[in-house]
Amino acid sequence: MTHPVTRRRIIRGIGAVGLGALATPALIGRARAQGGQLNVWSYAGFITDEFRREFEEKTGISVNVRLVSDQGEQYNLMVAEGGNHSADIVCVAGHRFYQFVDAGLLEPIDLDRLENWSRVEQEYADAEWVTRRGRIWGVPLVVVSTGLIYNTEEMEAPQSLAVMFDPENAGRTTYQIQDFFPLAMNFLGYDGSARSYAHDPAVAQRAVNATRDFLIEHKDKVRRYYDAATEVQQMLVNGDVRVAAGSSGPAAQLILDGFPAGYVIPREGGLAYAYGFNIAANAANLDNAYTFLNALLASPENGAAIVRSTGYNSALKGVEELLTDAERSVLALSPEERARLSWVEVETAAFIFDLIDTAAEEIRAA
Amino acid sequence: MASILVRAREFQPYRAVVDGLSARPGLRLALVAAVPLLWILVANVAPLVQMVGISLQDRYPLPPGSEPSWTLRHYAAFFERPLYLNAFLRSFVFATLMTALTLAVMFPVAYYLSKVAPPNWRIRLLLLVVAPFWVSEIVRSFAWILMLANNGAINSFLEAAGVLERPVELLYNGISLTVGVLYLASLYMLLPLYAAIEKIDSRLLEAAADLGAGPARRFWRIVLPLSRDGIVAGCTLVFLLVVGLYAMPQLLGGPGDTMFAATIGQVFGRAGDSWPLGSAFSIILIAAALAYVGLFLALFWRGSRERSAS
Repeated sequence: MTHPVTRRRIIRGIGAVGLGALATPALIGRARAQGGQLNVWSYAGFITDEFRREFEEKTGISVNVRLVSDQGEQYNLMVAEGGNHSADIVCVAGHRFYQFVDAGLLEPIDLDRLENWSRVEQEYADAEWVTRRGRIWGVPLVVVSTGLIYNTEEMEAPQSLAVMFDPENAGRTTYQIQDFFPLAMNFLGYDGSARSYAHDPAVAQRAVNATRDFLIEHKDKVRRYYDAATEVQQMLVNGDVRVAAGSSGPAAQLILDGFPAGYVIPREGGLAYAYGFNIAANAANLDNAYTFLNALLASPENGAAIVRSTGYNSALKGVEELLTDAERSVLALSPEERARLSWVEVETAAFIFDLIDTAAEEIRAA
Repeated sequence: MASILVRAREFQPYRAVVDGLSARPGLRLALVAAVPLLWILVANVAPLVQMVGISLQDRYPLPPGSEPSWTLRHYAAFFERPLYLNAFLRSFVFATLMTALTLAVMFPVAYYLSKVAPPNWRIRLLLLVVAPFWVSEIVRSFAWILMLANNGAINSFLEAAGVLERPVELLYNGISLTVGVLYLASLYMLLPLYAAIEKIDSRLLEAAADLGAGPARRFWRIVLPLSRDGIVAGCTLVFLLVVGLYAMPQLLGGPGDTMFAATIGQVFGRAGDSWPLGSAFSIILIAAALAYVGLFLALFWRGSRERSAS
């Protein structure tokens, strides 16, 4: 029997191939969801190679890590995905929890499925920002503080943020604008936490504008605005800057690596916040996500490994005992310095950071 | 080969297709043009159209179930905030200066490669120039960071040689940015120039020399006019590349070197509904860059026509 080739038959064939091609991502996606995959968006160092290898060997689940470096980047990508998230686990900063929760991007944590939740330090498990609308929205892993990192061979320990605007340090300072901005607001006498501006956006805008203008005026003191923690380490090691506003992680890593660096919380204060893992709403691999989080919390060794690879303090129980004396001393802050730290105000974070983000664009553009 | 074609003629589906195409020249043309046209539509036009669409929406992405509302306010924001205009103008001034500098630096290189170097060495030398471009822009930027840092190769060498007592600031300023961008853009200028200069008949230069024209006169009267197409192509490519440059100014530039592309990147990175604003800024940059290049080309060709007429 012969089948004459007609135009209709050719078109039908091409159509079938086209439909097949269009359906492929969905078919593959479903197969991946059922085939032991876990897609994680994480900051560098939060999933160590050793933990990942052991987890994959024990569970047969492949962990696909996509490194992220910014909360806004994660938020925008998740919103753009319109509910069909490509990530099962994301890495949201504590003070951004509410913004992600209110946008419907996160799945509440089901504590019945997370049997190792009790391994989270009580202080962080009960923290105000972890809970919203009576549900828990993430697993805190590390605690970050922001202060001043300096080269001990080039200067004495700075006591005040004024060092960042000192003509003597012109061209030898660096900071990440969004992180530094609340500290600069405090330095200028405004409320960097924006707690007092919550019901008065106009006052908040004036405070942000004044701080923006001040930072533009002192732009000559800055060698470069950095984005990632590794960049501030690179600039200090290369001798390009002598003092930086930055977080505790890169500072601790530099000190432990033997670089002559010091880290202080200036008298105007510093900020503290936490990073953790959260489950994305409608996660395709929900069971695997819980398996992963349980495995991560199961042993304080995992927390200690994260501390060593990030330089941040752990939010998990039993980690401190596993650290060496040198690691403990680098990570520890004096009681006075701890008292100067304030947690980023979670209720006003989205509101004030929206203003700060715009100001940061303008400072760079100026 | 011929036997394969003869056998293929006996294969009925093949015959049907070939006979069908032979009878319809219009269909042949459409099939040949379909793939490149489809590519341009999918890869170039569609994203731009989508970006224009997003830039005109009040918010994006839209919450489920909501209808888009249209606005021009994101375009207005560009003119309302003078600090954005700073970065925009900086990008155009920088791209213009870099285009001129790249032309000035690469013209002698292209001339040497196409006219002075021994013919059997030309391809090898060209490959030598092209080789660094097999490495990504980011890696090359980090190579410059290692060279230009305060404790980098150049400062360390000059200090060891006793030339400097303290390191000179070569990184995160106009110096590092100019060097890096010149290095990045050089190939895009070199290749069109090389192609244009190579086509110049060397006998014209010999004849001019025989008639008493010195090197400068030969350059102005013969080499420069005849390499015009290469100059235009190179300048267009380099300008469009530099005006939208993102990574290198971020890595090598200082606080005063933020380009408009970086501003756009920041807007897109802001958590919230900032995509319409970023899209509007992107469309403004693309439209302005194309208009600028269009104006440059129009002026250039008008000048060429007037010179030819006189």
